[in-house]
Amino acid sequence: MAIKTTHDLTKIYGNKVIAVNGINLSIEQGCTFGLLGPNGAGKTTLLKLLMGLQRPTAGWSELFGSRMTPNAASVRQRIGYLPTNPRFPPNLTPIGYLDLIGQLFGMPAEVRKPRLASLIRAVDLLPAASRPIRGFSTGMTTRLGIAASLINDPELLIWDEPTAGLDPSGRKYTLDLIQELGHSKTMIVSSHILSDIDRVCSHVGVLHDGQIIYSGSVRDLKQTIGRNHVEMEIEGTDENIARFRETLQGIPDVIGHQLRGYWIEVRFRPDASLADPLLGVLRAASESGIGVLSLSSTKAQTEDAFIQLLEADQADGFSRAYNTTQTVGSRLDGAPQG
Amino acid sequence: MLVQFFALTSTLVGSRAAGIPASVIVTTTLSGFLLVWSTLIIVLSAGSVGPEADIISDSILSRACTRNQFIVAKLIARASVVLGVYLITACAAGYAAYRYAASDVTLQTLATCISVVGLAVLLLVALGVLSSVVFNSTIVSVVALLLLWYVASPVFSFLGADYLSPTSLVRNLPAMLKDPQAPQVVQCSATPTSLTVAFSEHVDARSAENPGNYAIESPAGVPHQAQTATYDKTRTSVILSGLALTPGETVQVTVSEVADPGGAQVSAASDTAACTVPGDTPRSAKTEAGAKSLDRTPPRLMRLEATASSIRAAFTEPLKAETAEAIENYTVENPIGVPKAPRAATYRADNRTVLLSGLDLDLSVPVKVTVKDVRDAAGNTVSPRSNSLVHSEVTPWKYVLGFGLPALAASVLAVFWFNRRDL
Repeated sequence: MAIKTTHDLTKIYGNKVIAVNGINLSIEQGCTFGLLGPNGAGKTTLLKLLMGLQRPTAGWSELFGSRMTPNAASVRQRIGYLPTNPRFPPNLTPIGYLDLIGQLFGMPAEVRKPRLASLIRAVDLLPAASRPIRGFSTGMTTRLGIAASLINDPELLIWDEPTAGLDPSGRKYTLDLIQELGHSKTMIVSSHILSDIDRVCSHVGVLHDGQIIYSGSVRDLKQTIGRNHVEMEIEGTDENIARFRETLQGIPDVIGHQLRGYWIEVRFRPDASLADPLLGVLRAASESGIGVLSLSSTKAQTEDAFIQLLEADQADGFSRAYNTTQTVGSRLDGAPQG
Repeated sequence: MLVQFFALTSTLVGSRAAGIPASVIVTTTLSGFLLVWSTLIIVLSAGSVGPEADIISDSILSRACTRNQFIVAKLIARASVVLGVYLITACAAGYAAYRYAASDVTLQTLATCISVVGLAVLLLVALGVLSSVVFNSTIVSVVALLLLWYVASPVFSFLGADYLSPTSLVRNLPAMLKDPQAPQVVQCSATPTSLTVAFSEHVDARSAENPGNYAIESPAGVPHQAQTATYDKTRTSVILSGLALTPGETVQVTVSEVADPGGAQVSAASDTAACTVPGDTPRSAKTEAGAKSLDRTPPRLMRLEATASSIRAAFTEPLKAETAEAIENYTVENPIGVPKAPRAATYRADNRTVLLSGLDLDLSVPVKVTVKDVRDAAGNTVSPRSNSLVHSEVTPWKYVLGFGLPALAASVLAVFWFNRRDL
């Protein structure tokens, strides 16, 4: 069941900037939906439109069957929102702020107080619980934002770039939390970091220049685009590498390769099964005296898929004006549409 | 504001001794809010939304809070803070001035003026919140409001919308504060040695305790002069003592030049009361009425009526026409402090009025007429204590509408605009 749908959602700022362009999107209940796109693609604007924080220039969005407006407080009662680089009242302490948020959600004190205490403990802000927010680091502010988004035990979580500005440990903490919450809640997570989306999301929407150019499961995206090549980190003498590259050309279903330093990208025929040609590649490496240090496909697959989607979208040119997702989909050999 | 309050309070005791009227002190206090502290109010309210838009969006409006709830709460919060401080200061200073200074105001006029200025302050808050919703920059918002509040007043005056102007309100506050009701003599009671005259309201003790202001006749035509006059503030009455009145005789007392704290002199229509001295009348004490007493009462300027081109001034008694029709005997100010010259003065003996014509008056501000060297038939010159009156068509309700309606409109507009705004 779709809990969130948009209909030709469009946002134009002051007749100058087209931030979101005719987006039709449906998000199923229970999925962790990643909104992926480069900086400036319109991710934050789209999420603010979904939250009713901004008014669409055209179109509308519905959540839980109700249309989102700036005054749709009853709908937001069921949402936990984490803005990107959140700003909170600088003079309040985390306890004061979460208490205020709890009151806004109409939570009685006997429910609110224990919940905010457990959330502060959960996001590891206990030592800073009595300090004003103004002195918080980015990571602490984000963790407070996470706690604020969870205080009303929402059915839907909308987190806008939750890993932005975090150090590696903070990033890992946040991604782990998304994975954990994804088991019990519907989540929409935006990011421009492919690996984050790849790791935690079951579904993805790729946003480019204000339009959704792909919407479907991450698995489908990888299978469609990424399965025809692998990247190998190798070691060996120049002679051995040269011999290995010659051997590659004779392996059936290998249609090309490219050497970048000690990384070699091997491409296979799209319709070929990967097992046999990959076995041939590994055997050739062994016979050529090449050591294989690592073999990767997942990250590269997603990155390539993403880049390919963007290139395809740009290459479509004027035809994008008519139906972008269909055009891109056809270039992606039947990728699921949004 | 509190500093202003304490400064004013500390000067009240001294002002009482110096005879500074309460209206001056209250006007100074309220003008301070309208013209000085308004800058602080502008800064406070003009930065209420724009610079905090990110925080408001991230912290409040992304939760279960509607835009309407938020902006109405913001308006109420700002208005409560500003009005709270204003009302505490203005009420305390106003009451202290009323209680301890030379009081020329009533509680009613005081409450009216404090309310009207409160509405002006409320308008400023509503405009501030509106501008903070419209402009993201606090500086732009503040500059826009400063221009509107201080610079636009002449424009409002030019457009005939003087009641939208804070400077117009400041100009008219003294007239609105002054007690408009003249005191009346309501009754008297007598003993053989004293006479008690009761007034309808508080009167100024200095004028009330002057025995010369009471003309006593008992029986009619036989004057008596009191030795002392003592004002009893709790009973709003004056005890005239040192008299030798005959029991059983009727006593008539005519009061003149006794004024209330607002300066309004006792009404000519009700300046007389009569009573009987208790006891039997000794035959030997009866006297025939003597020769008619001489008129020693100076004429008083009693009432003013003004149109855009003329003023009709009414006097308490008939005048000598040649003194009444000399235009140099009249000074007209409109507004107060700005002289206007009448072209002619025409006396009508039947209703004791002088028509000053050929004027160009602005009736939205007070008109003051001062008379000199005008004499009655007996040659008494108009008393310097009752030779001027102020005519004012300033009505507080016009300011209530002038500030209240825009405040309401600005609040509604702020709610509407905030709902349209992207965060």
